[in-house]
Amino acid sequence: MSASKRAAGDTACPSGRGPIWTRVRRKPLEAHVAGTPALEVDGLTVHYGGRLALEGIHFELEEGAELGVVGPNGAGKSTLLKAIAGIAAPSAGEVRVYGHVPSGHICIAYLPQRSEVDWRFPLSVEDVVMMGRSARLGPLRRPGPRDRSLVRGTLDLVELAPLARRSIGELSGGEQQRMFIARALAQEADLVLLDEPLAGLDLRSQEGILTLLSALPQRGITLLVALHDLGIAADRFGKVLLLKKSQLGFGPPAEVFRAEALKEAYGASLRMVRAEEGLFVVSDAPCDKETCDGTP
Amino acid sequence: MGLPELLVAPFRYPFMARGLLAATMVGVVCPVVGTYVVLRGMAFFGDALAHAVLPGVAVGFLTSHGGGRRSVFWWALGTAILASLGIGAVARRGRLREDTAIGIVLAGMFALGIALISTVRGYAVDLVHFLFGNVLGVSGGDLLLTALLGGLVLALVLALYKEFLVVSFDAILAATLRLPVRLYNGLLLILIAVAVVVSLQTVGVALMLALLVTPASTAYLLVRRVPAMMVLGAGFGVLSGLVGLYVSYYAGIASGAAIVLVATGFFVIALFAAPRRGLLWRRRSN
Repeated sequence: MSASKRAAGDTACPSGRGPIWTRVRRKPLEAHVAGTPALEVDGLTVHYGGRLALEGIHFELEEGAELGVVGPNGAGKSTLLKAIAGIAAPSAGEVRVYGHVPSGHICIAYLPQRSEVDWRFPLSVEDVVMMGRSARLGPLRRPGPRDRSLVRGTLDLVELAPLARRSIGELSGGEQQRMFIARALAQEADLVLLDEPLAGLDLRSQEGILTLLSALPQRGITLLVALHDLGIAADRFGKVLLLKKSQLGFGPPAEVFRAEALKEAYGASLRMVRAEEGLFVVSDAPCDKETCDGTP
Repeated sequence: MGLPELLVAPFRYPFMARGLLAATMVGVVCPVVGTYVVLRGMAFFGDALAHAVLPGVAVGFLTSHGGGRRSVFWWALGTAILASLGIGAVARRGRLREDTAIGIVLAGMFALGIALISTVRGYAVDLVHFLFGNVLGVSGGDLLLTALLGGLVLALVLALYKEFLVVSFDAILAATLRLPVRLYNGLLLILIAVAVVVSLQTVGVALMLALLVTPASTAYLLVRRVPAMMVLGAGFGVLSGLVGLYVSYYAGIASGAAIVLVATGFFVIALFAAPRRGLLWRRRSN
């Protein structure tokens, strides 16, 4: 398949193709250090707008891992993803992606919440996916045949090829999310961070996105997905991280989702039932604020 | 007098022909840059920039004793670039919302401009000239300068199309692609500033905003891709200049106002008649 991200044979993030003036950057991009984990988060503390948003986060992910990040609103899920993407600076601790600070990498894709995107922008699906190529192209260069075939291949993979020329404003929620996944693939990202990719989607679209995501680890892609649905996190993710500013648990869902930890994270809004098969969690609120009004 | 004669007659006067050339160049440059103003929701910023240029215009006017237009031009350009970067700095440092920062800079600079011009006797006449422009007073030298700077703006928008698009649509993507986001944002502000100054003589400070947003918005109603929006916007810009000058000539209306009114007319037509998005279309499909 033309979309195969290993097709070009470049396992390292940076690309140094093209004449020297197209390679001007503020900082040189880092190559992957062999044998290092895809992601190491070590004592990460982040202040956002003067307030403490995250404190003492510590975990490690191997290449191809799938992590569900859960926690109540304001728990710092988005901040964690942004810090890992290298666009929110830690006030203490550090993040290493394949052995280096994230701001030296272009192989980290951050997929925004759909509510943060201006869908009136006059762009086609293809235009948005091609944006994933812009860093590899460098300034002043236009997309070449390889870029175009990569974009076509990723659109095929997410089953959006027939809509390639459609305006982004005409897409359904699920199609919008699949377009962003295609963009991350076109970017040739090794670490993909998704902020609430299922928010506001109907069950069928949610299922489609989850199926699509579950195919990524076999391409060597490491996934971090912020979620509000504990059930999906438990069923679909090998590892989960339970957050409420600090880290309340990290590991397989069965180990992390224990009554005490969940109570500490969600407080009174959760009711728990112990049954034969294990722990059932019942929420008082039919939906949390994020899913109700669509604003973060 | 036949129609061809009616169309050719105004441009027998050299000042009308120069005015037409100026309006045409401005009609191309403003909507191309204005596409980003519209898509990024920077209309208020564009208006503020146009008004903030006034003190620069005044200083240029006073230091050259009312003579050199060239000096007015460079002072205005310097002020515009300073103001556009200043607004960003005020917003960041003061932790203010950006529109508040824009409002403060706009009003303060505009007042400074009026204060400076008011030191000259008979200032009302000069003020009106700067506020509303005078495309028919454009000299050959002005045309050359407009062509050079306008060409530079177009070349940069074209060369950095890919980067400006990413930075405008998704700043977080741009950051994760490690593009120098602040550099591109700053450059875009400077390009808008240059477009404003280049167009100053055509429509003046008060109506400048119309050239930035109206033709680009008209195009936005009709097409769905950014490059098409730029090209069609430029088409509406040029057409507005041409038709506006005819209206000005035959109806005896101020040229800047005539150009803006024609541009607004195109927008209103598009608003009603645009396929799929227009009001008429929606009524019919309901």
